[in-house]
Amino acid sequence: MITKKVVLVGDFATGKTSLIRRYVDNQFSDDYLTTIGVKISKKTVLLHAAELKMEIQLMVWDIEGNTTGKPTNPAYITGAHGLVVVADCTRQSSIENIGMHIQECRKVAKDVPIFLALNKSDLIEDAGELEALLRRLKTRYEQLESVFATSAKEGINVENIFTDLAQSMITKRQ
Amino acid sequence: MDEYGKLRGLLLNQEQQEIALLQTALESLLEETRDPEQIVQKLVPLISKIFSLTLQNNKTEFVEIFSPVIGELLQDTIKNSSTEIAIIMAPIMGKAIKEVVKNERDEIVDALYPVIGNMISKFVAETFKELMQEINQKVQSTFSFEMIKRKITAKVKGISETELLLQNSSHPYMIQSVFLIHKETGILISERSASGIESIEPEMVASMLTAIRSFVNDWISKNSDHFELNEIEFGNSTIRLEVAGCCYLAIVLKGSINRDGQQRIVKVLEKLVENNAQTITEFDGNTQSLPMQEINSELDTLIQHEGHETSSKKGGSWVLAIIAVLLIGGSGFGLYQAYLSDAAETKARLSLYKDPHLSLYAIDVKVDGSSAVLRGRLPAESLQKRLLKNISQALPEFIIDNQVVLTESVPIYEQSLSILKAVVDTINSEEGNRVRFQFEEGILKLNGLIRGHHIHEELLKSLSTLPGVTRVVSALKEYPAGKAAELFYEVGESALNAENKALLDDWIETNAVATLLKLYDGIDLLIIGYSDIQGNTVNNAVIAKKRAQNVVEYLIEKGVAQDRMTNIGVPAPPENSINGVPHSGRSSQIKWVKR
Repeated sequence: MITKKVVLVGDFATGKTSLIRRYVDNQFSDDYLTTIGVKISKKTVLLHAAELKMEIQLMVWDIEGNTTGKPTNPAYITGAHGLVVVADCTRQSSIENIGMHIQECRKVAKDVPIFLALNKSDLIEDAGELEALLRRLKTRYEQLESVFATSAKEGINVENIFTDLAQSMITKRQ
Repeated sequence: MDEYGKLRGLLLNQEQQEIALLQTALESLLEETRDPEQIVQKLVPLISKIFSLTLQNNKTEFVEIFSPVIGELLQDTIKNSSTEIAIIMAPIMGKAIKEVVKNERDEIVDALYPVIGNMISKFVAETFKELMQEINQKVQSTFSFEMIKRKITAKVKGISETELLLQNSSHPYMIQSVFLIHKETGILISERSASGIESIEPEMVASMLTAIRSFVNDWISKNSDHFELNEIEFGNSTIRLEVAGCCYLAIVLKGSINRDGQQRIVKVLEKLVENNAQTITEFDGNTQSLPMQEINSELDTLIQHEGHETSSKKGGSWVLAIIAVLLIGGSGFGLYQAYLSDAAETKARLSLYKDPHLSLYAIDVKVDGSSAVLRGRLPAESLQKRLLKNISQALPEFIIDNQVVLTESVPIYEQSLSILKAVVDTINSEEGNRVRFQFEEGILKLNGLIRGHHIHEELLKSLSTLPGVTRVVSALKEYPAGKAAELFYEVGESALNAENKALLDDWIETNAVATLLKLYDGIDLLIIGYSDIQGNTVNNAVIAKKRAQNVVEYLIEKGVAQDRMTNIGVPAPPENSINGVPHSGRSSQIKWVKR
């Protein structure tokens, strides 16, 4: 069995816990409960690539979102095989902090794929606007391997981002 | 001029006199100001008045002027006349401390904590020392056989007798589970549990423990790498953490561990790290890259140890053997020899215990010098042969003295009968088997149904070796063992996707399902749909049933007879896959059942 550590980082209230909840338990709740410390969930992914078909166990670390000025505890990120930076597409400040989160991740976890989840995409009606924002972010932050507009509420792209990340982790290391 | 002078004298006579007077007065004043002695004398009566006036009108200014000096003033005074100051302060000290404790309790506690901690530990250490001395005296003053034994044990273990006494009095502990965890990622490398104990979600435990370790290390002992979280206590249970560079051990145990146990844990970790540091450091989540067998067997040594009680017993017998040899010969070689025989006996007994045919009988193995003596009773010659083969394999360097007696008696028949019953019950507990037997005068007759030729053969082979069985007659009907199938679904999905259809096609073909059903009318197919435990049970029941029905429909399409299939829906995950199953139990299974 192959096990990989995935860590979600990002500002507070961007929907890290909700994304994991949707992914692991397929549930969503509008109530906001701030995460304290770390919450860890487990999910098994079946990967179908052209020639290989394998089961990967993801240990997903949900870290408490940081408020301004307080950096994430680097010990939680250490050893991650894949990272997801989560931002709230309706909150400019959380988008501006993406760069800072990427830097923090790079400090302790070199050489591992970093994905961006632009969450709460259901709240933006103009699909064109969202597309443009995604493209802008992708060009601005070269370190991002993939960028997704996600919605934990509607279940949009949630499965995809984790499956793609799993795929990337496997190919990157082997 | 004289005229003018006279006139001036007449006109200004009075003024001139006054001027002269003023002049003398001025001169005397000037004289006074030049002489500080006189100024001081003039000011002295006024000084207290000046101070009190300034204090009254301009207090803050006054304080500002004097405050910088006061500190130095006090310091100097205390330095020069500390005894006097102490006498002056003494009456108010008690009150002052009380006041501080009342108002700034936390600060006082913080300030005193390190000192008091040290004080207490020093005190405890001292008391303990005294206690140990006391016990030592008592031990030394009483002479008994127990004492000799204890003295030697202590020597052998390299600890003081008192410590041994204390160790023996401490409660036994039991290691329940051992986790080997990759330090950096928190990914579980291996988990081993004592028999009868099942760890729930070991992967989660490993990650959570790692998070807790990081949390404690980062927030509590902030600037230090030298401190580690060593233990988490919960009631009578303890999680001990033993940390190395690349990985750490988390040991869940009941009771309190002694020094021996701790050392054993450290040794196991040392050995693991010594042999595998490189591979563990490079571990990227794939357990296949690690020598799991070696790791697991190393971890198992911790679990197999039943804690302090057995270890002391074992130690005891060992020590007694040493005493015996000491009494006879009393040489270093003797000691070594005794250890060897003890080890050889254990090895021999273990080999007997492992052999299911021999484990039932009480065979005694005694190793003496270069020969091993076997005593006991066995019911059959074949078993005796087996025994000799076993022992000569276990102890290749020893001469074997076989004193085992062959017997055949009534108890053997009863013993065999009970074993027979147990074996048949086990076989029948598996689906599709219906075995019955008759056992009279050494002849064992079997009839009924059994699934699979292979199982039938195995059964005949093992029953024929039973003591007291001279012949086995089997009228068992074999029917081929069809394999079960299992399919998985996404959330809310009940229809068969392409992948599941392909799986089913494959299963139908490899098991020749349609043909099997035609040939054996005693067996049917049971299709069970399962669901996860999320959401509403009624919905889950509907979806589980649908999953089963869809499978049945597909099988009918593929030519499987409809009247040979039953389907049910269970709104829960399957029993045999609670943890670590993909899709949280959203699955369906096809099983072969006897009619």
